[in-house]
Amino acid sequence: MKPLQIAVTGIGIISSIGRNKQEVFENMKQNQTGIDSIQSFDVSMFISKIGAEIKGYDPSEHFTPEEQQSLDRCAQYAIISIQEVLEEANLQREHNKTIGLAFGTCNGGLNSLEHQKTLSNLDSHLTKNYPFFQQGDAVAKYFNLNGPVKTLNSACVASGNAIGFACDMLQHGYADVMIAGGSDSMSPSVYAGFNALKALNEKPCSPYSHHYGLSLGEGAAFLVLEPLEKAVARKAKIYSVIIGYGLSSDAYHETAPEPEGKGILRAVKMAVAQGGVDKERIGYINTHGTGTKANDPAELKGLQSFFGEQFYDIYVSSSKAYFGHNLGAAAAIEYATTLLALEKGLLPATIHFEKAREGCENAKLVTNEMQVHSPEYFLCNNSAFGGHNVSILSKNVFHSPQTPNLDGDSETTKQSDVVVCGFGTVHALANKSGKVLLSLINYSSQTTQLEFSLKEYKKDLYERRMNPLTQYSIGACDLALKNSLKSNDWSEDIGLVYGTSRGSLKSAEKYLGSILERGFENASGVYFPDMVLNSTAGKIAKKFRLKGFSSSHSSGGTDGIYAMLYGTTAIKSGKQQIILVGAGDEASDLSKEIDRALLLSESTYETAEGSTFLMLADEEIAKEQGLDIYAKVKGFGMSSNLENDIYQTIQKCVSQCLSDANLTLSEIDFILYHNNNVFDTEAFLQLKTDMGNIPIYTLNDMCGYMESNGSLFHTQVAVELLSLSEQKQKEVTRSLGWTRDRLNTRLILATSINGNCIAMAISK
Amino acid sequence: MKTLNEIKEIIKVKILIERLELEDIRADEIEDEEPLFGDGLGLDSVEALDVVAGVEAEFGIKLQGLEEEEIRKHFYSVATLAAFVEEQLKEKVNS
Repeated sequence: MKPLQIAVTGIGIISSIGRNKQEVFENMKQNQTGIDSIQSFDVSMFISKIGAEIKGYDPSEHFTPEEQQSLDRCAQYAIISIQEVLEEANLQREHNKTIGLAFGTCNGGLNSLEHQKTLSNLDSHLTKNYPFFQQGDAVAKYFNLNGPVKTLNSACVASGNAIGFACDMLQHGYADVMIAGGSDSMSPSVYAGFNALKALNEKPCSPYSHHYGLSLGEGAAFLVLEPLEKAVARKAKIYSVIIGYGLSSDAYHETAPEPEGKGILRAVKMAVAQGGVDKERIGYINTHGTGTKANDPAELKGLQSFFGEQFYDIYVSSSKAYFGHNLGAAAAIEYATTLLALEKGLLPATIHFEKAREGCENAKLVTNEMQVHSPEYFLCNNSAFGGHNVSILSKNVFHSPQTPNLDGDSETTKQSDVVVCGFGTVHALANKSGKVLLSLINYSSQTTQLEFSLKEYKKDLYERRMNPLTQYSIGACDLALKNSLKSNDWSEDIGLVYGTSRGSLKSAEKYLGSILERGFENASGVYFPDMVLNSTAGKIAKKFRLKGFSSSHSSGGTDGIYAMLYGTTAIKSGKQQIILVGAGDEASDLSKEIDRALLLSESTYETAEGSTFLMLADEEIAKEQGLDIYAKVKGFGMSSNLENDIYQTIQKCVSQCLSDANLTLSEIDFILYHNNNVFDTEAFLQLKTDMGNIPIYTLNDMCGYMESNGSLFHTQVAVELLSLSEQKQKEVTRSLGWTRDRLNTRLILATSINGNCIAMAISK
Repeated sequence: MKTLNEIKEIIKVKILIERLELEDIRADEIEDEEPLFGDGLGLDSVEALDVVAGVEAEFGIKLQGLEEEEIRKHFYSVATLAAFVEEQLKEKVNS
């Protein structure tokens, strides 16, 4: 693996202090804040009445009436900032150039749902714009992007996580260019939730200053990212070079950070280890600094424990006093504005600062006015509900004037192979130990209705008000851990990558229902933390003490394999040796409404619930620890909906996947396809014809359609089959009516409801 | 005016069991003196805020501006909370 060197070659921002990067920077320099009285909804019943809204936003200045109808506010902000970034990066759409999108959001299209003021008989046009993955997909479609598209839902670290994911896609050669960032719009339901948690400040926030509380904001920022050598070759303007990033989980609490800052500490360690830079050369840290009593001192403690005495010489500031807490867009807006300041030889400040609060007195804070300083390297950090943390380590290209050097001679580390060491599924067709193959062989129209209670499965894993999605997922994770580690004693240094297209809509129903019933001022504080889609991943991490690399995403049908992909790149990059990847789906009335809006209700498949987890490990570590090795992950291919032609999209994925895996089509023995049978039916038939004698099957007519988990369920079946002896394999394939006896390598395919596609090759 | 026992019953049934959805426990199994947080019923900080919101909604009293220290004292158990609510309701009648 070559060292990570990703150039930032474009910046686009829309926020409360400016509609583009020049405006934003000018206002920051003049110590202006975008935090003001909230205009877009009634706040008279809340303790705080302020927030950082985009002033006088009029969608008709940017979008046609048809576009306005098909884009939530969240996607609109993203498009506006991406227009700016594309203009600057001046990307010639060369033939065959693969451009992908990593989109971070905390609220997704919640505006489209909450404005309906009901949870039943929903308007399908509006509801279609709600799902989290719809934000990334709609934006990718708007710009005709053809590469990997993924929506990160890890709340307030989502856009930092998106930048990290984009770096992986570039480093591993899955895209030539990635557009990465995040977007969130102001939401009265979210405002009510922060009000219920007493987290809002009555005055404009000033992190680390003595007046506690945060100010909510809205906006979007996106970056153009490309491998440094390509950026240098095309003489693009370079703002910074990302050389490392880290993700972690506190595994501590749904809303509060671990008080000693151990979570952010692990993320920083991971970023600095990847960057391979002496920490003495890091001269600035842009912190998460929300302004809440819980966050600020904990974060500083974590940083102090990493840097030791050196910490008191490093400039530190939170930019949230300029434009509030932009949630899913926070990391991207803060990273982008840090670059704008560094370009002028300045550091962003924490304005409105009066006097340091307890626990924050000793840090070298940049307060009230930008500081003249040009660090050699800098960190940008964020933390989130659900306990997720992100830290991005970058080289400041404005520190020394010469063109950034290409570290051509720096040592390349050996690339690890990734293997599957365990699996487990909770599903109507799964047995007690989490296996599914046997039920498929003996299949005779069993119900896909899942009866699973975590309390009955293992009481100490359950907590009150735990939604079904989290119950299934914790159950499946427990089965996968038992299947692989065979003991209850494992290291905390395990990662978690989780895919969920919708999160728990049962919890969302409870939270939004509490507002409809009792009013915004009485929103349910206990259900609000489940509104963020990474809450399930957070709870899994907490239950099993999984404190390593941690991420959560939504992609509307390809979630499971995207989890495999991100787990694999994280292991190959040397960030983590063992990672659990999982996905899950839960049924609810609100989910049915969304199925109708997305036309998924027209599928011939029954909707099913369940969760699957697989354990991935670096092959050498797996051997060292004596773990069972069931299969090897060979390669991936991703593509977004090319010219609305799903078949063409699949073809591109398959060919990218084969080339990544260094395989030819004739070496593939078998294809399993998680399709939805709404828009991809024809593509499936054509694939069957074109693949000739390679058998291609879907299991969805047996196991039902699981939007997030289906592709991982298919993967587990493939893994179970590959792990059998040749004799057993023959028996199984014959009993299923499949035509191949030899089963060494297989391909797993999935298409999303929006026609995006991912392919993965695994082998014995 | 509600009696102290009526107040306790509302706290147990309406706020703790129904609002927080405490499972595997009936109102008569919640001891008046048992701590609500930590070792007792095991409520956490987010649930604590929901108990405050529940008290405001059920009894129509305003607790905004109450210091953390006071919350800790009055929300220690069903008994201390009921006594505090009774006092607040009396003040409301008198004012």
